[in-house]
Amino acid sequence: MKPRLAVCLVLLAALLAACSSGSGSSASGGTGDLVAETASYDLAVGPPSRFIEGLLAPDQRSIAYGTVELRFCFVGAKKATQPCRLGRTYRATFLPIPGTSLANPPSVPTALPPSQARGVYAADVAFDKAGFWEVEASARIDGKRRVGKSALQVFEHHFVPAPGEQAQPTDNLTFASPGVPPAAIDSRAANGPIPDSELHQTTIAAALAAHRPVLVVFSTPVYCVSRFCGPITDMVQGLAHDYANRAAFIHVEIWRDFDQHQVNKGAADWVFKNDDLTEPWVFLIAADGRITARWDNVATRAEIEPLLQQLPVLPK
Amino acid sequence: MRRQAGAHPAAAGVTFYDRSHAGLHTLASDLEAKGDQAAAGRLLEAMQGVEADIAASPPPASMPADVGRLIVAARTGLDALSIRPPACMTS
Repeated sequence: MKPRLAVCLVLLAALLAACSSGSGSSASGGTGDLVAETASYDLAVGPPSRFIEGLLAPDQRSIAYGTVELRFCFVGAKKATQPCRLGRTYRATFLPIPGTSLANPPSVPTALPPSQARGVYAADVAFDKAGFWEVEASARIDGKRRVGKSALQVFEHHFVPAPGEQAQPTDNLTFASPGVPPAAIDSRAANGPIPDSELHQTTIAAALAAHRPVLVVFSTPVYCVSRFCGPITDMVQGLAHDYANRAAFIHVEIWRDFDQHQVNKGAADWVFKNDDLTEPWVFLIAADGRITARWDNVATRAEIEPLLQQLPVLPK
Repeated sequence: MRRQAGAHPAAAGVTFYDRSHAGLHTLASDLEAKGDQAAAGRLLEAMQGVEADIAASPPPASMPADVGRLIVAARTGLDALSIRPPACMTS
């Protein structure tokens, strides 16, 4: 993919604004349609699974909270060749990126500055055909119906391990791994200690061998490029603190050496598939070694915690 | 924003997330796509530094310098993509 001129012009405007000395954060209200971006990775034909979509107002404010409607259409197997005939309506709920929740959130979709709210809308969606699809997201904002569309590709099968599959017994890096640069264990450790020490004590392989449930986050806190990046590793660390008696908790850093484009093998085993690296991901693995759930790009405590609470307390 | 970071760090954080954050992610992504891993890395490291400053309470005294480092990294990234940076980033 080549750098996109239009995107860069938008970027330039953003940087220009960032240089200004003004302290105001409000932006003028847009009146056009919504900017939609599919945030899901690894969509495949099969039973309903989580689909996530980010929405922006034309002035780059986030559309946040409440629910929006999603409708999908198939437009072609190899490329978009047929007209979009929208199917059933899915109601999608807002997932705030960790650390961006408002104390008193609005109950309806609202355009808010990104400093106040960032996130995606999620719904469980089933796709019946591999190929190219479009999604139309619509919401009533400030009394008017606003619509955004984005394209997505659905594959015949998942490339990244999915619920029901057996987890790979990966020997990810830990504090005990000899001769490893600290930043290969957590990219934030380039100039300091390795943070979130509880997440670097064991390997997926060892936890599986001990028949312990595992919550594993594949992420790169420094080098995340998704616009939906958030403190997902810290969120998992918080869960590790609260549920250490129910599961093992592991962070696998994506990059062995970012500058040299070297991916850690433990991360590549799981999330470098089909010649594509996607991150962050969170997986919950049951004691029998099967993947119970997975969350791509945006994962929230509210989604994960109920599943951890269902796990039995481990014997000491 | 650099001036804000010294005098009004909270306002600088708002400016960062409301006006710069998404665009900087796009710049990093485009640098990676172009194969300039080093420039993408310096930009993302500088962003993470500013994000950590904003998250700290109170923001550290190093925040203006960290914002300056981010501006340099963004300027370098724009140069690598042959995009002329705004005047305030070249002075």
